[in-house]
Amino acid sequence: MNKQLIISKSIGLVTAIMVGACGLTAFGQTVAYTDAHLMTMGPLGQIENGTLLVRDGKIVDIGKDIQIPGDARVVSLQGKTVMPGIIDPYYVFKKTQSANSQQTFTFRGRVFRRPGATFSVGSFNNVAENFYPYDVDFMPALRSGITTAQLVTDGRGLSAIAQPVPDPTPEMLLADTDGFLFAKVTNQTSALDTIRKNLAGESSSSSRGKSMTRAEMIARMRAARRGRSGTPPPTSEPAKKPEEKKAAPTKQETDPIKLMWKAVREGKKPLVVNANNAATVAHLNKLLEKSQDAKIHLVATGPNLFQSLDEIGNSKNITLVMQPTIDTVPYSSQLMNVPQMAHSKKIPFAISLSLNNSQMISSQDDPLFPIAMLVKSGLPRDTALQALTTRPAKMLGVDKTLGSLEKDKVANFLVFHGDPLETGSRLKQVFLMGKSVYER
Amino acid sequence: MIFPSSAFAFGRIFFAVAFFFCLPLGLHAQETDDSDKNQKPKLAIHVGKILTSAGEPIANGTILVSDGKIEDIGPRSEIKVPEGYQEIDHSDHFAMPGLIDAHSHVGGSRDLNEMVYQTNPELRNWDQVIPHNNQLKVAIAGGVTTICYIPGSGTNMGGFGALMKTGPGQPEDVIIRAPGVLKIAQAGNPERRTGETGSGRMGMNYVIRQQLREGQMYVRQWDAFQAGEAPEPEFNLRLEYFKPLFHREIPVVVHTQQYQVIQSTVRILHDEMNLKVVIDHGTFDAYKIGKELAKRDIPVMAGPRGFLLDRDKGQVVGIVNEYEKRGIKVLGVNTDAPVIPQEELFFQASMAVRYGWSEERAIKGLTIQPAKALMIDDRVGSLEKGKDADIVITTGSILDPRNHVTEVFIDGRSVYDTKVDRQRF
Amino acid sequence: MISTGLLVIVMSCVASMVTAQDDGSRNRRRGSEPQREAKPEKSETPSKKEQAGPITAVVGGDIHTVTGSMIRGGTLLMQDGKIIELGNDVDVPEGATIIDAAGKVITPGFVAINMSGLGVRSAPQKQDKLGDALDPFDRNMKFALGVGITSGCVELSSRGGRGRRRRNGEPEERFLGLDPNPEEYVTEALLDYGDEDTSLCPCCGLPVLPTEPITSRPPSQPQPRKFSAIKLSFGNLDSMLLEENVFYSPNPGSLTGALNRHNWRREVLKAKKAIQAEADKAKAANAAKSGGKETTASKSGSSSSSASKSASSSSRGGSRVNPELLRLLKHEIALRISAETVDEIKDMAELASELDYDLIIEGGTEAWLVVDDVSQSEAQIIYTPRRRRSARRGAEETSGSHVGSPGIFQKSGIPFAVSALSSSISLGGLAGRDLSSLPLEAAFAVRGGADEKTSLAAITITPARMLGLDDRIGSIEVGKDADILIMNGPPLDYRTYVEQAIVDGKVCYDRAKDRVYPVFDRE
Repeated sequence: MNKQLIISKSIGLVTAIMVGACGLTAFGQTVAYTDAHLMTMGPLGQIENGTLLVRDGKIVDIGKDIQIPGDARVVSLQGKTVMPGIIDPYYVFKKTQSANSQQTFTFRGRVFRRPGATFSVGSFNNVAENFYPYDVDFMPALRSGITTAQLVTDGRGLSAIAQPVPDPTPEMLLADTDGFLFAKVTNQTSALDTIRKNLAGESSSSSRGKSMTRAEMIARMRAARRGRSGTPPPTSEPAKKPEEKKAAPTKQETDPIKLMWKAVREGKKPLVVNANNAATVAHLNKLLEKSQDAKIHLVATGPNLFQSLDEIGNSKNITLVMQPTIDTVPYSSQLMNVPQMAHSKKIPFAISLSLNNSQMISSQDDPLFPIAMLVKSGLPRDTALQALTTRPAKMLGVDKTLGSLEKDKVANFLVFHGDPLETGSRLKQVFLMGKSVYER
Repeated sequence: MIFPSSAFAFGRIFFAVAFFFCLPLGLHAQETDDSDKNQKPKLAIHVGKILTSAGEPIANGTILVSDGKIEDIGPRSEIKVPEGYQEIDHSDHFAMPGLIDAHSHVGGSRDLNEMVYQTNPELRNWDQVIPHNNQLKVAIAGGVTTICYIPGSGTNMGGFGALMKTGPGQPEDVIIRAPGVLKIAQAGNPERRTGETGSGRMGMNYVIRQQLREGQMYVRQWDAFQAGEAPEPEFNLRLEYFKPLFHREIPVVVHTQQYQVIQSTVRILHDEMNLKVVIDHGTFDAYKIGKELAKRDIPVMAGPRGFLLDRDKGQVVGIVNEYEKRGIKVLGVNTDAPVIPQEELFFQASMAVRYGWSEERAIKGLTIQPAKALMIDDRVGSLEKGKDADIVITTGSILDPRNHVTEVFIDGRSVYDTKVDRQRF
Repeated sequence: MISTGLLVIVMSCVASMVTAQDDGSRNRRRGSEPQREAKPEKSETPSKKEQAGPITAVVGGDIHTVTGSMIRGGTLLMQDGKIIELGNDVDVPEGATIIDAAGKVITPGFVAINMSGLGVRSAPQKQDKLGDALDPFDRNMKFALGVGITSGCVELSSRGGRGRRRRNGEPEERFLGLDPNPEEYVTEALLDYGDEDTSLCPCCGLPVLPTEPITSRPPSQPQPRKFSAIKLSFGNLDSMLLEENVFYSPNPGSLTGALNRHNWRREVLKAKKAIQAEADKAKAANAAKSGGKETTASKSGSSSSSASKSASSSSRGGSRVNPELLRLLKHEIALRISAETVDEIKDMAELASELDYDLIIEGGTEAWLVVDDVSQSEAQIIYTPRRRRSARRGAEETSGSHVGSPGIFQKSGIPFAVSALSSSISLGGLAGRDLSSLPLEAAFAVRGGADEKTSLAAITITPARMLGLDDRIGSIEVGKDADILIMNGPPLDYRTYVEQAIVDGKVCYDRAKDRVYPVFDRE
């Protein structure tokens, strides 16, 4: 088949990977995975002794009794279970340790920071521009069966969607998706204002317009302080005005971030918000009352989140992203299954494996153990699996190509020794675009 | 002043020392009663309700007081007031025994920690007593008539403390017993943070055991000598006060709290050393070992913390009530004054009641129970014939903060009277 | 049908607003206890019932109304967060939710005049809006509700508080890059070298006694502290914020010393001029309109805050006048200042009388010695009965605190609010010394000679009046917020527990369900 076609049509994966990915499976070669228990997560449901036909990184066919082409290499997955690759809708990649240098390097026209460059919490980060593919942070992802992830930082900015590959290149970012605006929010005016003003469409003076050196700021502050304590501020008032005037002409309607916010306001693009306590959720809900169209992907991780589930349930525009943990009720040793509670309140949600980072790093071959725990304690199995695959695919807007095992979708899939949600079952192999990228 | 009989051997020395310390302290005493001490008034106090801490309350009762002692007590109808008794009418008030605090640091000067050695059995704090000082004056207005004035918990063995009344007089008038108690502190405060032995609990327990063992050997040598079985040992001032302690004539009050630490208290001080032990904090989750304490009849004077937040349930648990549930018989509260102001001793019990304790037990926990724990219940703690006339008159149950103390008698003398004095608390 | 109903409501609303204006606006501070009777407004209720939400009835309890007389075995109806009917012979409408309170005691929710660490997760900074920092799920609120505190006054810290802010291990959120107002974080991050107002000696670091400034440094302009009132409506963010900036509260140091006081007088006079100018302007405008509609007139009168704003802005041309100062001088808010000694209290009382503003003395440990001065200035006191101040040596009778102060205040007609020993909930184990002992602190006021009614008022209507919120909270009256406590005993009894705390008509605390305090039956 035509290489170019795959790249442009499927997910815009760039050549570097594809060229480099030609390990065992040559392009044009069809591989038939037979005798597998297929959990398609798609309309086909579960298929016993099914066959999965993969060619050129795509699923060409899937089903029980399908024709295996003569030239196909047949791999028997007898006794194994196959499920789609996990999509993580909120993968925080943190600043790498230490290093005080802010050196950058250029790779194919893009500027990247070297490891050690840190993201200052709170500042706006365009992930695609600042992302460093060789970061150790991505290593556990593959081992956990994550084949697609929305990359965010610990602050706010514009996310990027990526696939972890064993030999990462900057092009592991999915090129045809823009990413989403994301922000971590607390119940503080400064944090809430970011959302409030942008949702209201107020043109908050952007950071670039009002760049001041620290020295200038201090000088201004001192002047203001002096003014407070008796003498009238001599410089601050007149100094302000020309500055504003100067900022005015540079104002541009084409500011991509502002356009993104506009899309959020109109409900065309969701906003990813991380709120780590119930109070912040309540404040967010209050903000959303005013902008009915905005859609929110609410990443809620706080221990008292359960208290705001009712409020979340009342809002139609919120989709939750939760961590796969059994929580304890605050000030208590009582356990609770928050995803199950969300499910019983009919709140749509996805689960981000990486939100429970320590679990993800420590888990060796049973990445779905926490999910299994949730299922054992009441969360319906299908809901749990959807929360890992189809729901996040939809949230990230990649559901046409990812999230389930269907004909013409990308061949991202996981092979388990048994039922993935059996606690004893192990992840055997991870396939990314038809290619085995991790094998136990 | 009461001296334990076995302390007789060093009585000479004590008096010699007492001679020196009484002189300057007399000067420091805040208010010296000029009237002849021996002339104690004869009183007949008529009260609406008497909480005796020794049986049922008496409605419309009369207390006869003479020579600083309770001469008689009973229903007004049954008590005949002899001639020459001044009659005091409190028939619209309550009477109760004076309150006793088993853990106080405000009986004198506050320099109660010598921090050089980890164990200081040679130290005693009755040389520092300042009778009727400002704290104690207010304390009386809160109904407190007896305190156990003890060294601090800066070291594992802070020294010997004194049992004293809060009223005016010279030190020899107010001190009930000296040495009154030994103060031992385990864990927490006495930790040596500079790195020598005793920075952890193992080290502290060793230091305590080692010191007690030394004292025990010393006392045994003297006992053998007195029984005529051994030659006279060398006198050692450092270990002298261990005699009444190991003869179980005075208790050791232990700054100990938390389950595990009290476990070591029980094992070392009670089981191993066979001492009379009083748990004098017993807070945090220590109540969980309550059954072991109850088995050994170890008294608990809980405080100053009154509740624990049970992290498992997120719920407040009343510490005193938890001890009660586990069958502690001699159970009371303390203030650790000045941690809680001395006058608020009653309020410690009020809060214990708020968290579930019974009012009747609370009144006893303020009076007769600490008296028993401190082994002075032959003199104070209840209103009974022959006991000290330490009587607190209140407008109602002392547990209710809305009521207040109107008059206090210590050793049969009125030391606070809101008819005369400004209400101090 | 509906429209006429609406009309009735509008009419009654206007009427109630007017009456509120009449008895409240000018002399709100002294709250002359108008002994309003709890009369069920029968004419109003039917239409309301049609329009509004479900009704909850609390039946059979002994109701301490605080402002009126006690109603034994009464019934109380709540709807849409308000009390709609009250009395002995109130019919419970069909379909109403009934809370059986037979044998129980009902009081208004308590008002804590000093509260911190409650309902506000992180100490909000001056630049933060309190409304944004509220945490309706703060569990500490349950401990406060459990003793009956349903609303209170929190202070927005002017600086610092960084340590506390991070207590949950949350990363500090400052949004450095895009912050619209860069000043705010620069103050925090870079100017942390001590307050100019601190009275520490720069050479030796020892505290400097408050004396007249000897340098030519201009005296500090009173920089008010910020207090706001919130409700502890657990789980309900919308009704949490009661009012911001409820006091004008300068630092105590800024009104001491001749130079500071001179400056203060000048500020006040300037503000008064601004008010006068505004009034003249309004008069002229009114005359020009020549008998415009009555409604607009009443509107402009009621929305006095907007008027004050415009006054401040108009005067900005010359030199700025603090809008809060304008509100103070218009008797919309009171001046709250800490004063402990006889001298401090006298000074503050004199200034208040001279410059004509409402005064709230915080502390007031020696106020019992100068009750005449205090009552002459019509000041109110925030008092903590158990807080002691030892007398000066040799002046035992004429200095220091006095247990009997509450009784003395009551006799002299000085309103006092009781504040607990601590403004926050402490779970460290020392019982009865934190905010949760507020009703017990009021019990200590009884010990100090005040009667039960006054002491209960000291944690309900008196602080509500200080906050200027007595039209909403602090007593049980028809039309007020349904903030109600159902208790198992007398309100100031140390054994009493709140069984249910209702805030804005919703049960926000239930002793048996929430189980934050011990649950048992007392024999």
